[in-house]
Amino acid sequence: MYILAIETTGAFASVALANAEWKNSKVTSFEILGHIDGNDKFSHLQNLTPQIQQILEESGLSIGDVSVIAVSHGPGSFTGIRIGVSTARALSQVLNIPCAAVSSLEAMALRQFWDGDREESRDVSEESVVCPIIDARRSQVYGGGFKAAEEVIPCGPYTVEEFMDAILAKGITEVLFMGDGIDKYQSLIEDLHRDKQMESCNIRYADAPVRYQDADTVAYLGAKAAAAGKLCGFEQLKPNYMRMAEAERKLKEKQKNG
Amino acid sequence: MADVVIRQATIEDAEQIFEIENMCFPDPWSLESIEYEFEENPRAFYVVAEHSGEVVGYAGLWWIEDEGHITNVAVKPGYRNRRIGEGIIDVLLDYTIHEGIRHHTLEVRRSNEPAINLYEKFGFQVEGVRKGYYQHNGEDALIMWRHASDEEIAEAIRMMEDRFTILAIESSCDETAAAVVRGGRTVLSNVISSQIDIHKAYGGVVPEIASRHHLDNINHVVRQALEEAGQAAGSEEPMTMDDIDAIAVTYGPGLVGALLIGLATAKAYALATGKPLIGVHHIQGHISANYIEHPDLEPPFMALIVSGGHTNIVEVTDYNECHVLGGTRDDAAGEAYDKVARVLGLGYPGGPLIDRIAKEGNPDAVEFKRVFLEKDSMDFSFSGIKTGVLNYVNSEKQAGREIHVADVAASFQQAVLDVIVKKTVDAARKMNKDKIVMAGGVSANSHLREMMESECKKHGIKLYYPSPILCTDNAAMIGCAAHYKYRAGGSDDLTLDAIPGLPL
Repeated sequence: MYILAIETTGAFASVALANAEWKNSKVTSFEILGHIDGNDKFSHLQNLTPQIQQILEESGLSIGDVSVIAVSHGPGSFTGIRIGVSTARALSQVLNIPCAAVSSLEAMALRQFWDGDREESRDVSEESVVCPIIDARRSQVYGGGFKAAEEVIPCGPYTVEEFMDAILAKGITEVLFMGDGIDKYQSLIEDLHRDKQMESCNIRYADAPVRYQDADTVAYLGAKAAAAGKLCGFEQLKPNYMRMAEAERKLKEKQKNG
Repeated sequence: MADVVIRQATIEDAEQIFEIENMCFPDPWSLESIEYEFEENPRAFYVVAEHSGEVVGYAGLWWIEDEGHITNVAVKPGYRNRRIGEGIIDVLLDYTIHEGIRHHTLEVRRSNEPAINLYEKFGFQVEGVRKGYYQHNGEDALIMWRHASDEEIAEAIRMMEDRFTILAIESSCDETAAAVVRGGRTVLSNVISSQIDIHKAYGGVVPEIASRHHLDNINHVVRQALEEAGQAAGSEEPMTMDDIDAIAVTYGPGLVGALLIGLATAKAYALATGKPLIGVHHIQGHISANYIEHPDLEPPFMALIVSGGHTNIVEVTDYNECHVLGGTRDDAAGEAYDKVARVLGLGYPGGPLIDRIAKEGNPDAVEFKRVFLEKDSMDFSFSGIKTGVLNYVNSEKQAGREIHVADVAASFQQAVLDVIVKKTVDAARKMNKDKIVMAGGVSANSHLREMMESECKKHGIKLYYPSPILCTDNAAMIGCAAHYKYRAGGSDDLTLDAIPGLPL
């Protein structure tokens, strides 16, 4: 079965095409057939459909051969999320094929545990907790912590300080940060690490080539969702913003206060 | 031949065709060759004449680019001289010309005079000879050709355009809309999901919230548009993408986050179906709403576009050609209405609210300045009058006087419309246009319509405006504009991007 994967929640978009099989709730084979990285920052709308067309052409397939659309549905850039989700929905609607809604954080973290077609450790020790953090502006991130496939810090919106507190509370000794939250908040993270006396927790940052979102792991989580029977129709495919619109938040606050 | 039906042939007819073939020709086609025509040969096209359920004649051709090579024509013995052959050829030519064939050719025995006469009657002429072509007696074959006339081609193109069906999407501001438009001006469906009640709570459109709702709604709106189009076309079934010839979408101007939902969706549809993608300018759409409303309307004319986002005077010289003569230098007219409505505590959206309450007020109660800018300028400025209203309200409040909202609304509206109407009519007269076309949300304003009607009448100008449903943002107008763009050879590739400030 061919899985088309879309990842547009970060600054650079990517698409991947995978051939996967599954049986008894398990992915039994998985192979990436094609992958295209967007070169232009935040030009997802312009490039996404041409990239899908290109990846199919290069693989000698047509869009009608695709069985599942896997899409990273957030968190991340609101606009990016919407481009990915609306493209996935429209393809699903016209082609009458199901979608897999994949967490951008989980897919990002998987890059550290995943080596091609095997879901195994790559760059991290057994103690390591991989923490993808996506910049949510004003000292906030969308983040989570993963130890292999286990979500040890729940994915959600945090201030950077709240996130450091969560690491502290879990008694984590080895953290590998990922995501564009590093680029924005590395010095804040280090200040908090010092101020909160977190000497017992060693912090590392993922290297740039494996730091950000990527469609390959979205395709893999799409295959896992298919194996687990967790696909959905286009009507059920929803964006995962993790935060309400600023105007809505202010309005609710105003209504609450009086 | 009243009881004879001529229709496209199917594989079910193969055996009866084979029988007639055997009765009529000394070297007939085998049953396998005939079946091959139906099952395998993508170029083959056959029609049969049917009488009481029995096949009594047939003809076939091979479709090669714009040529139709007629392979065989036969009428069952016992049914001849009933003009059945004539009927078959007539249908075959008519149908294939409309589907794009421009040249028809066939071979006929030199001795078969009745057939040659028949073909000549249909405009075939001998253009060559194949010596000894027929194997069983070595007889010559005459090669006859028929070339479609310019009138036939024009008629075929016109009929093709009349059938051309566009699925259109519009999401540039706060309405999520989809429509199916056939032949440019026939609206088969026009579905609009308005977010106006959601944005009322914020006193205006919040881009992030609009974008979120567009995403929530768009696929359902499209589905509903296809369902309603199916019914409108007389079918029990909803339309599918197979019934659609092209996908149209607004790509600017508008809110970028809102535009991109429509665009991403339309591009994915185009990718998934291989149908052409047609990007449409939102204002071009508003103008085209009038083509839907007024089937006789054709360019050239002067257009006034007034809405929450636009105030433009545009000279429309052809379907795809226009020149912006003037626009607003600050607020759009609809924007000024919204802001003044807020100052007067009327709510959102301001246009219809002010229009309604102004009917009860005195338009001469307060003297607001009419801003005409430089002499002969066709531009607008509405920020001054907006401030004027605010200052008036504040000073009245400070003086402890009660504000008569209806009077202020009527006076504000009069000041704005005086300028709009004068500039538009002046522009039409200056550029020698005998038609003025209004478009956009504010063109639904009743006082604007009254004033414009009376000014146009004075100067012998004919006024056009769409019904309210076509004044607001909708996708039918986008489908109509797309039709004329595509007809002129315009379409877009999948790199089409949202352009928030797209110039006209």
